[in-house]
Amino acid sequence: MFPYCSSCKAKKNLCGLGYCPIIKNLKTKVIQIKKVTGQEDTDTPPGIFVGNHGYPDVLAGPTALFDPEAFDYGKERFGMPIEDVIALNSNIYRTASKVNIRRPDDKFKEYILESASSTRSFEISFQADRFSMHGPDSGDFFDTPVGSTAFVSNLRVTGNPKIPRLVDYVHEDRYLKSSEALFKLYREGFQPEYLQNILAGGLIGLENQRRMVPTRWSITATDDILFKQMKDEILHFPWISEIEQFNMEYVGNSFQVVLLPGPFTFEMLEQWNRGSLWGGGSVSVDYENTEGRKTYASNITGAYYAARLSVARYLKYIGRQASIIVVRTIGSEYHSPLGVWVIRSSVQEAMKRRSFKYGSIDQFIREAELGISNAKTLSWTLNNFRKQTRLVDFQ
Amino acid sequence: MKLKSSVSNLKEVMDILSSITNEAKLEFDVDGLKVRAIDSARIAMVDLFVPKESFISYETDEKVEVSVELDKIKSVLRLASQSDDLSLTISGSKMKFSLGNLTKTISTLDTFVNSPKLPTVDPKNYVVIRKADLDKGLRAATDVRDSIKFTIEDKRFEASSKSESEEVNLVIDNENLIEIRNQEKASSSYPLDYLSKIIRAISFAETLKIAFNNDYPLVMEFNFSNRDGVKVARFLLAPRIE
Repeated sequence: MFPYCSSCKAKKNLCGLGYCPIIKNLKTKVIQIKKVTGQEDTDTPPGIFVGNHGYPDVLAGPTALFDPEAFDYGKERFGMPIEDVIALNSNIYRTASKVNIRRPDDKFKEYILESASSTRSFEISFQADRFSMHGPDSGDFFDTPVGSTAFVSNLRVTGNPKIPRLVDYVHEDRYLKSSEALFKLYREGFQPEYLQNILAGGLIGLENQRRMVPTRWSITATDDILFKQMKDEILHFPWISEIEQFNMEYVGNSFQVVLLPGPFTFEMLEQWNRGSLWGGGSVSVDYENTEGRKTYASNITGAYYAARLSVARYLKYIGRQASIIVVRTIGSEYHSPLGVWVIRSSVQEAMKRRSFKYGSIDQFIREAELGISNAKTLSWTLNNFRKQTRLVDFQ
Repeated sequence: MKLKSSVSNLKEVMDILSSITNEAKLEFDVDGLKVRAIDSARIAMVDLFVPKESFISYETDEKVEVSVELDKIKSVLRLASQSDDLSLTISGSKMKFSLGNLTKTISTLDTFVNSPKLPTVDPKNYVVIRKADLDKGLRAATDVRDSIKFTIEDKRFEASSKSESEEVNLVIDNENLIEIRNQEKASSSYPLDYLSKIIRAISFAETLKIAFNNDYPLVMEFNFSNRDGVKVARFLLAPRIE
């Protein structure tokens, strides 16, 4: 383990090895060693995976189950112990066919639509020509821990997918922008974890702009798009009146969400402690002011967008705006990556809890317990809050 | 309400306002256009008046107030070149722009944007400096820190910014200042991004009047537009207490 693993997260090749030794080691430990070869009939959970290697000619296809009997589609992952989530994830593998993101053939398009949008498992059949434990996009393992890949031909849907009517409707609408389509579905209760498949499949958007989006990008893009659709409305809400803090802990991830009276801004601080997946590391910080960010939150990556969406959802619900700080610390219990839904769901759950309230910023500085010991001095939001006066203070 | 204006005249008003907000209430009063807008963080305010003499023509019998998304007006202005003239007619919730043989109608916002209350500030010290000088100071400070400190002392003006590893100092002495009133030593810090944006939005003014006290709101006054009629805009900015 290298000192910079926590800032690389298997994505930046900072060690120069060309592959991530942590992910490699993890896969051999936690993933079922099982190979799929020859003619195979199985279920898709459902879901799809679109790789980014070789973009725009990528490897994509429905995900598939090693053991369909052991899978329960409707089961909520959030709240399960980490071992159960790993067991559930390791039942899933990718099927991969070479496809151009703009020009998948009609049959393939249909299969992608069905496996991305179905709300129940259904049977698929294919010929597995080759099986790889690692797959070509090993860095993706961190966002969606689906690693092993069957390279397939003769893919067919043999079961009965169930596509929600509204999804079919926005899919057919060739004049609806993808951002608006996503938000329309989100407002009707479809969750980001479902919507990222719809975006990845290239199933929505203006007709001439439709294309498949690599899963790795579609997860963050979905969080970002949904957030932006809510942001304008949030900026019109009145400020909250007191400093509040929400806490939550799940599978070794501890979160503190701080809301300060003020315009909407967002900051996240993150620290991986010794024994966690990436080992001990320094504090990573990303933030944005009211105007929003123009560059990718490269220090925290996907978790930033997931947390921001969950907080925005809460602000929209209460009809208030606030300056937000999310502190995340990761302990040794989190020895294997489960995907960014952990962050999205945990922060969403945190906002349902009872909050601590502070009468003044001084009280907050004195008494608030945050997982990162120097978070109060590192935070851009807090520094700004304490130092920046407002014109109303001079009336 | 009806008016005719040069495109550059309206464009500058929109640029100045949109440097702090995307929505504002425009008040077309009998003597001219008044706008007061505040940013969502309530840190900066713009207060401006364009007398009716600065328009080519300007007719209204009563005060007409419309709240608008500034981007919509800017998108109309982008269709014209700076030297063009443009007519605007407001009736009800519609603003109709005519540019030669092209017309575009936009809707105003359903909800009124509140005009903010002007804070009671009365800075005792001020300098009048060239905009280009201040611009240079702001640009030099950009990478150093997100705030800049202004000081008036011993008949000179100083803009400085300091981080752990870098420091910049812009000093403008008495000879290079156009005007100065220095009643006491005054020093106050301000958020840099707000200053940079407003300076970029001002196109015509060559000089700026900058007034402040110790840890006190900044009041920046500048003339804008080059047509007839005195147009003064004020930009207020809350200090950062370092």
